[in-house]
Order: sequence, then structure tokens, then C-alpha cells
Amino acid sequence: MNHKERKSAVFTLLLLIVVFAAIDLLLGLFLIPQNFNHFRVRNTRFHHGLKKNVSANAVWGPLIYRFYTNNLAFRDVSVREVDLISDKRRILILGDSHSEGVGIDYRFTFAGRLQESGEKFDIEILNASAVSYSPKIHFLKADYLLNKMKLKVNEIWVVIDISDLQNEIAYQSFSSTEQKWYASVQEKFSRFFHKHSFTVFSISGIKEKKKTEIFNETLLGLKQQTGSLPNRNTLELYKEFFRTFEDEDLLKNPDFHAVSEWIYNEQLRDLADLGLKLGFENISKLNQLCSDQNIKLRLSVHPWQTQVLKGDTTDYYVENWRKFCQQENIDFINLYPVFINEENPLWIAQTCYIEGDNHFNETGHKRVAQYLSKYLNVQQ
Amino acid sequence: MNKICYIAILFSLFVVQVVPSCLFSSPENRMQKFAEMHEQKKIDNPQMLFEMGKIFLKNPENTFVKNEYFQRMIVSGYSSHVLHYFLLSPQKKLENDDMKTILFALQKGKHYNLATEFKDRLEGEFSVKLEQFSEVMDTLECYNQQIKDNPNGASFAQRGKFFTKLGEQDLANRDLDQSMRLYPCNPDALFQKIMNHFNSENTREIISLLDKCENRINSKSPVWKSTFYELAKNIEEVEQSNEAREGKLFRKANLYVNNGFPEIALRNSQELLKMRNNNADYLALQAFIYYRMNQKSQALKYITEAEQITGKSSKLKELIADMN
Repeated sequence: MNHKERKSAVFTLLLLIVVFAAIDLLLGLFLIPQNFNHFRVRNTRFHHGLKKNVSANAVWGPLIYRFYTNNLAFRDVSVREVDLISDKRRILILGDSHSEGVGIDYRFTFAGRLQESGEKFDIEILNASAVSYSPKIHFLKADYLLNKMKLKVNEIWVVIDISDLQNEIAYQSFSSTEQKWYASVQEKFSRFFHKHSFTVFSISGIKEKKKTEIFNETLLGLKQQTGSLPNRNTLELYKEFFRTFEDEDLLKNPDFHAVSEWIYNEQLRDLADLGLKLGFENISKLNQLCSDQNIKLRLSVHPWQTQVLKGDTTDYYVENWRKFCQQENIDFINLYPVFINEENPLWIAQTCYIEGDNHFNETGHKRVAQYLSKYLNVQQ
Repeated sequence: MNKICYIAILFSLFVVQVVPSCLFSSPENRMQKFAEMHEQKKIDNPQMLFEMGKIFLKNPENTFVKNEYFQRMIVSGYSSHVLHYFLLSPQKKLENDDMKTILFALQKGKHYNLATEFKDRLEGEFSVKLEQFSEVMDTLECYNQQIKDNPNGASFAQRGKFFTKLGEQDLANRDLDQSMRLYPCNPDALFQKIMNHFNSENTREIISLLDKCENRINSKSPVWKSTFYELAKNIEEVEQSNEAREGKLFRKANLYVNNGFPEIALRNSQELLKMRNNNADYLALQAFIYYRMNQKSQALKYITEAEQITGKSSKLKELIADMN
């Protein structure tokens, strides 16, 4: 092969690569479905979190809503700069999808409303919640924020619910590691190719197939039990949080996914107890962390629709957490009576929750905010 | 030469993919397509709502797109989401269509707590309706307070009756059941529950309820218990018979209208007329039901039609003509 032929071969190869890349990206542009969860990122320290300074449209089931994060990667009313240290009294909320406020514009979530009313008392509310967080992640994230980021807060409010039983079990095998220096670049590359390259998108789809099949089978069982299936985009999030979970038998068990029933089902009581035990261990660690830094810790529990319809404000879950908080000297807030009271329970289920979902709608958030606002002005 | 080929391939790919999508995807077209899909699909199909939402987000100022999307969100149970869209832009002047949407969303989602937030933004007839809507909440709060103070069978029965008046059967039944748990066979709750079961033509439940309360039906009990029991038994007998559906409907309509339930009788007779609209007996029955409902013009219309078929004048027509 002479020089000219070699040059021509290299040129053709390069051209082929360019054409392949162009076609790949072009196909990606039209065939890769829009990802409404691009602001949710994996994290080696605390499993997952949000991207910084995001302004995006998010979806929850059929609901589309605005989503902003600040420079600390916390959900906020807008993209804004938050200092690590503040003169104001600061409350950090740590919770799951309820506290993140899925499906709802931030100013109508309880955290958003508290943020607004807190201004009157010169209190700043920060919301470090994200979908599928549970006590283990609350501890790991708080540890990172307080010790690594040196964020200064006066109080931490942990907001938990019945889903934490399952989350704690799912995160049992997750071990927190330091974020490698190249991790963010790697993540950016990976995201770019998953978002734009049709080839990468298709190959990763094949890789995900096995896990998807397990879920499809399981959720079919769940559909037979409950008569409904979660929406496609919420299902993807749900699948993602089991990524380090290895017990396939449990994953295939429809009862495992009906976590709100665990405490009422004698056969699943052991699972509920395991979830509680793990939760207690992690909140205990968080309590120690808060004591070390002179931070006031409060813990609240709120009901799902299932609990509202059962009508018990002091059920197994609530009572276990109440006793634990008493032992650990943590302020305990029971939000069950906000939704389980003299009002018609069906009325509460219909008016305070998103249709066919266990998350609060704007009305439910407003109730929680009204109740919690009385703790805003209570000094340590 | 190679280069030209590749560029040509890229260009043709671009043309095939981009041009049609630009030409055929105007927001109205895409929304129209989804709206038509509703004819075949359920209105609360979440995937469809989600796709509509995407179109709306790109075109929030397009009235057709907005109205279509909001209407379906409200009907599907996401009315609070729609209401908060208006609260996010308080400075924006609301058009008549917007006010109509707000009122519909408030009523459909029972968002009494949000009514005050729109108090100064709704005008004219919408403002009056908003006022009436708020009054319902005030009444409901009184009932809630009553239950808080005295959580007994009587208080739950009162609220159950109120929910029935609002047309909220499920909510009403929940309260009436609670009332009967606290005060077994409470006549107030029992009566209302039986009425609700009659409205949903669930006679088996009525029989079961009254059987449970049999020991409590004594000489002091109101007459309605035995009357309702007999009617429910007769209806159930018709249901269990081997008769054709048409015959069953006819007998049931007669039983209902003769026992003071003309509205339920009307549902049955309307179904009969859908099956055969030229049957003189069915037309006469429909006329009689309207007579019992005190609707003279409708009663006259049907009895005239019946007489035209039989060619005979009836006594019922005279009665109807004498109505006030």
C-alpha cells in the first residue's frame, strides 16, 4: 500500500466514523425518547441526588411541572445561590419524594410553603430531599453536607413514611464510597451518549432488559392485586432505586412492592421489622452527628392513602418511631392526625392526594405546611 | 465522489425525518389527534395526558391546546394542578373561559380550600357560583365540628345525608357505615343507606341490611322499613326470574314508580324505549312516570305518542291534562 492509498484509506475510515456518528446522533435526536429525569444523578456517597442549578420540566405520572435546583443541588423555588453559612436560623429538610414534592410546583409543596412563611421569622428552609431517600441516605447525605461541604444548619427535620421500610432494605447492600475525581466527567460523558447516541441507548436498553423483565413479571402480579400499574416514567425511577439490590426472590414477590400493607400482614411483619431496625440504626447515627454539631433533630411521620383509609393514628409504624424518638431524645411529630381526624377519610383520600397515588397533591402539602409551621418559631 | 454520496445520504435522512415532523406537528394538529384518540380511549389514560401536557408546555398561550388539556386533567382528577397554574400567574387577567375552567376545577376536585384564593379574581355569574361553592364548605365544616364534639352515630348520619345531597355517594356511604357501626341499625342512617342502594339498584344489599336489622324492626319502627323490604324482595324476584331483559325492565319500572321511586323507574323505561320506541305500553309507562314526577309537558308528549299507536284515548291523558 503506497502513501496515497494509505492516506485514502485513512480518509475513508475517518469519513465513515463521521458519517456513522452523524447518523447515530441524528437517529438519537428522533428516536431516543425525551428524558424528564436527567436532573437526577447517581452518587457514590449517598446513592443518588439531584444536579446543581437545574431549570427543567419534570414529570410524575401524567403531571408535568417545573423543577429548579440551587447551587447545593437542593430543590428550590428557582435556580439560586445559597451560601454554606448563613446568619439566619437554618432548617434542613431531609425526606423522600413527598418532601421533594413530586408532581407539584415547588412553591405549593410543604417545603416551598414553609420556605415562604419562614422568611417572616428570618428562618431559611433548605430542602435536601429526593425521590426514594430513606434514613440511610438521610444520614449519608447529612454527613456529606455537614462534614464535607461544611454546610451550617441549626435544625434538621427528617420526614419519613411507610415506604422507608422497603427503601432501608433495598439500600442495605449499598456502601458509600468517596466520589472519584473523574466520576463527574465520566457521568457527563455517559449521560451525553445515553441522551444523544442511538447506539449507546440501544445497547444499554438490552443490558437493562433482564432487570426490566423481572419488574414486568412482578408488577403484573401487583396489577392483579391492586388493579393498577405505576406510570411508565415513575416505574423507571422505582427500578433505578433497586440497582444495588440483589435479592431477586424479593424483587419478584408482588407483596414486597405493596409496602404500605407490610405492617398489616402477619407474613410480612418480619420484613417491616427489618426495615424499622435498619431505619432506627441510621437515624441513631444521624442523631449522633447532629449532637456532635449541636443541631436540633426532629422526625416526622406522615400517612399514605392506605393509612388514611385504615384510620389509625397510632399504628405499628407510628408507635415504633414514637418510642424510638423518645429513647433517642428526638422531637417526634406525628402528621397522621392532620389527615386522620373527624373528616371523612375518603374525602381526605380524594382531596389531599394525587389521583391514584400516595403522594400529596397541593392541598395535602398545604395541610402539612400549616401543621409544621407551628414548629418554625420554636427555638431549641 | 464519496464525499458527495455521504452528504447526499445525510441530507436525505434529514429531509425524511425533519421535514414531515415540521409539517405535520403543529400544536393544534397534535392536540386534535389526541383529542380524537379520546373517543376510543379512556379520558384518564395517563400516557395520553402526559403527551398532551408536553404539547401544552410548548404552547401555553394556545387557547385550544390549553382548554383541551385542562378539561382532561380536571376530569381525570388532576384539577389542583390546573388551579395552581392560574395561581402561579396572579397578575394575569382571567378570561371568561379561564373563570369557567377554575369553577369546574374547584367543583370537580372539591377544592373548597382554594375557593378564597380566587375570590377577587372571578367576576359576574362566576363570582356568585363561587360564593355558593364556599357555602357548601362552611356547612361541611359545621358537620365536621359536630363529629369532633360528639363522634356518635347521629353525627355521622347527618354528614352522610349531607354528602348524599351533594351527590357524593361513596363519601355518604362511608359516613353512614360509620354511623351504623356506632349505632347499629340507626334508623336515620339505615334509611339513607337504603335510599342510596335503591338509587344504585342494589336491592340485594337492601335485603341484607334489613335482614341484619330484623330483630330491631319492632312495632315502634317506621313503616318504611317493611315497605322497602317488600319492594326490594319484589325487585330481586324479578331479577332472579327467567324472563327476558325487556320484560324485567318493564316490571321493575312499574314496581319503582308505584312505590315512589319515579327517577329510578325512568332509567328503566328509557332503556325500554331504546329497545323499542314504538311500543304503546312503554310510551304510556314513560308518560305515567313523568306524571308522577310532575312534568306535564313530557307526560303529555309520551301519552299522545302512545295514543297515536293504539288509536284509543286513555284515562291517563285526562289526568295529565288536569295537572297544574
